[in-house]
Amino acid sequence: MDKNPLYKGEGIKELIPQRAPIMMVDTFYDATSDEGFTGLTVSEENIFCKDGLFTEPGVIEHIAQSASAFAGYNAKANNLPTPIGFIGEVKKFKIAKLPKVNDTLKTNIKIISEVMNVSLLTAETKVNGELIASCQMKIFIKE
Amino acid sequence: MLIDKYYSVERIIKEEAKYVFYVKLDPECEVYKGHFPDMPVSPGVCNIQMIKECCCEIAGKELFLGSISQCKFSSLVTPSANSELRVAILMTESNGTYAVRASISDKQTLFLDMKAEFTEA
Repeated sequence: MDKNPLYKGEGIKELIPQRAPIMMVDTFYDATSDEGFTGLTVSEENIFCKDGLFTEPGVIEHIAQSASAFAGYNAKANNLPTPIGFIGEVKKFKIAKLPKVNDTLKTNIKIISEVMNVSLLTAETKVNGELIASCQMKIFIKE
Repeated sequence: MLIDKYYSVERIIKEEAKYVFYVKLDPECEVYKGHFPDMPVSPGVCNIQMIKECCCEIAGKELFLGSISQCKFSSLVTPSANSELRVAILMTESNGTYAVRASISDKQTLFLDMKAEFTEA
């Protein structure tokens, strides 16, 4: 994760369909065949921030969009348009504490299975190397 | 309310142990500019936040959503077609932990079903 990110800032728009004010990934560091590594630095204006903290729905959306960025990265490699996905299910979500404004979330998503248009994945989010959130998620890709 | 103008509460009804919040989504809310351009769909996480805010209202204090054992999104919510929603919440408190079973539906459709645990923030 130390090398230069593959996509960052405005470039992330090439991978995800979400736009302001609900873009919750700003960096796509790297990918393997079944894993994606993403990031988000929390700005004060982020719509999920309250009293200087990035709240629970923001963290979940960041994880969902990390999966979206991974799907977008693979679609791009195959010259396909950026897919639109929806959260189908969140399971075993745990969050230890809320990130603060200016913190950088680093997320690792791992695809468990892809059947038809449903992806099942696990995710772990760290801040300063400390695990703060994890879950399983099912994403439906729009046909 | 975290997301400005996302919804408004029309009325709250208590049915035995269950609370039902009748809410109205605002299709003009700014999240729809980005989710998604030319295809407004209510972000699932905004509906989780709406449930959280209803839970805080019932508990009468700020809560932290520490764990979701399961949250199923069985149908998409579109703010123009599904603006009037029913948020049903069953909450039991024990030693500062609030176990919650919540759903979002309208007359025809179940959109979301969640089992989660909150603690005092």
